[in-house]
Amino acid sequence: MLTGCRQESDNIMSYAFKDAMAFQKADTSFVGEFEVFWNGMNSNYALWDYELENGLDWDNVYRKYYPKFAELDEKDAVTDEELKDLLDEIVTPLHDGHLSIMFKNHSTGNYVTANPGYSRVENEREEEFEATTGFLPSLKYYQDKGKVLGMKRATTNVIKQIYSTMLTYITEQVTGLEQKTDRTQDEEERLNAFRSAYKELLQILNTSDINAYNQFALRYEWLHIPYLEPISSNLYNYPLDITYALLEGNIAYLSFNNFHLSPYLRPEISAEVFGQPTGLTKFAVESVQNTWYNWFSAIQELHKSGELGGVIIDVRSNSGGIQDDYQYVLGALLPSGGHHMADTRFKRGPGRFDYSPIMPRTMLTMADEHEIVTEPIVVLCNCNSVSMAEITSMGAKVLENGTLIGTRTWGGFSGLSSNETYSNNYAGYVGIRNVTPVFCYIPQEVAFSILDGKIVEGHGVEPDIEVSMDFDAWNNGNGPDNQLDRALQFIQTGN
Amino acid sequence: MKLRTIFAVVTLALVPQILQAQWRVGVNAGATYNMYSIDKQYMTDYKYYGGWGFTTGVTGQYNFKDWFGVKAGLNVTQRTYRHTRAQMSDHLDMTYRNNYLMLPVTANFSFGGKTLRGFTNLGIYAGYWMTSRRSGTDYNSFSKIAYQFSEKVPFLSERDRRWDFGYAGSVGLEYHFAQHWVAQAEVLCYYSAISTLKNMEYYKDYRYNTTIGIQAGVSYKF
Repeated sequence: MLTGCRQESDNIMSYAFKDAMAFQKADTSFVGEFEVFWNGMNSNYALWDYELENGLDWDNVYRKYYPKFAELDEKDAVTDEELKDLLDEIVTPLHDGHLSIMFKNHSTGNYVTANPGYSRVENEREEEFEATTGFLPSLKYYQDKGKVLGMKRATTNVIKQIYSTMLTYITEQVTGLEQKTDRTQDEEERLNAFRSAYKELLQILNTSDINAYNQFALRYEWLHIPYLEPISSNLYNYPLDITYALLEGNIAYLSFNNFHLSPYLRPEISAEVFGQPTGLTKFAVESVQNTWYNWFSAIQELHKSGELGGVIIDVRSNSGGIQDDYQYVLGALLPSGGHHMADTRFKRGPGRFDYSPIMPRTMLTMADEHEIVTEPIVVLCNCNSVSMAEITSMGAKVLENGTLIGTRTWGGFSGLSSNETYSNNYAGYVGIRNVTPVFCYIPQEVAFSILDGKIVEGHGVEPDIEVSMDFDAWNNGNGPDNQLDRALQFIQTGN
Repeated sequence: MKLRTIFAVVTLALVPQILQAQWRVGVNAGATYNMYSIDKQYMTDYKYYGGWGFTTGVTGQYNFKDWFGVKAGLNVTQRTYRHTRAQMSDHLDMTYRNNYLMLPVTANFSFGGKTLRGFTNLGIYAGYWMTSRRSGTDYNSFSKIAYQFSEKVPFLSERDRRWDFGYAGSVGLEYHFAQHWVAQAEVLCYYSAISTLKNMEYYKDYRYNTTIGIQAGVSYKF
């Protein structure tokens, strides 16, 4: 009689695996997909209290959108655009900057994706978003003015580095063979092969398709074109464009377009990712290592001798990446033992408001003995500074000798598990990408600023000194970079 | 003024008589062991264990007969439980201590001799969830740090239900060791019928406390 007074909870499914029962309805219907998405988010998403504070009622989302997905099931055909519009409408109010959802369109067979972070930044900061997407800082103007004392740059896009040498060689060979009037059969074959290789190489350069390039390298190996050899596809899985410069006043500058340093700099990961690299792969890997090392060793030596003016870490338009990279960037300037730069709270349990305690979010700092930088450290950021770039930005803000300059960051601060097929916190992913009809990429935590205790997710990290980029003056690197100039001024004058 | 005076005089005249015949008041204290009932769903490595707490309060009892009365109490009862995960047993181990103000109202049945009597109480209770604390270890898998903590759990109005209702019962022995004094020892149980979580519209998640305890007390018989 007593137990009859207690009610049983609804059953909730784990959507972490391709479970036939969990995805059965979603396999054939839009409403089924919506139910997986709604329930998966309900028990996995880490910001429900924050969303509620901001006026989002998840139950209301169910009430409002269930009928709309039911309507899609009634239609003969649903376009990808139609489905995307509906998904965008649902996810846009959500604040998580990493959140990404994919629904399979049962009409077209395509996966349709919606990202609230993109929608938010694109809509709210359209002009800056467009201008800074794909932005790569350039020091050309400062080199021309003689303000760069030393510089090193590396890119893992090695095809772009060596294609002109290859094309020149091929052109020379074609010209030479064409000039011969009495070509042997072998020479005739080589001429035709060089002509084909030229065309194919140009096509590959347009697509940057690493697999196509590697097949090309194997097919034309017999032509002995300089540098032509298969390269590791992991150069593309962990892409990097990194620049070190020593600027006037002994200011050590580092820019890089994402946080994928660890595969290059951590020997155990490097060995796993690249094996024993050879040829161009080795060249690319060593270039990244050397560039970073030049920056690090310049700081070490200049600090030791008391000549270091300051450090600039440029994470503008940096798309983020591996969190352990912190030890090679800001963490390489700080004492060993970690840097408590924010607080965090994990999703725990199936309830919408089941959370862990708020814990310190401590980032890795360099374990090896190194100099601790006491000189000014400036981090440059913009609206396309995402994730690890924002964590680095926040790291600078909480440092006594750190300053953040630029514009507010993206707003995707919270971390994800790197393993998409397993989540030890019962939070992180719904479904399996491109396998289950629904896939959601959901951070399993939410971070809080230790400066004011506020959640920065969906808003971004505010700079200490706000400076908008003057792209007209910058003129694709031919003119001054006013955000960099502000950083230099701050380091040199303290203001 | 006149009416108020008459009322006061009558009350003062009657109270000793009422008290003398049927009333007793007392204090008690003891230990509780609480079990938290939760549907773990697919989280098979989640473990919930009972936890020890305390209870202390006052009681009042009115006996209609020497074997039957009505008992009411007001006490603070701690409902504790422990939560761990098998998968992260070294790192996730936390104890929740929830303090409730409880108001049990029960029928009291007693039996036996004049000095040593057995009794049982059966009834209902209302509880008010006053405070909650949790302490232990959680694990920050990003920083790879086990975090020791002891903190107040903030009350979320969207999640937590302050009020609790359920069944109350106990069995025990009482010893009438003096003309006006009774010592009691009992085993009690509070069985909640209300979930500690509020219902969501499209997802029902019910979580209940069952609290047993052992307590001793003394009462003064008027």
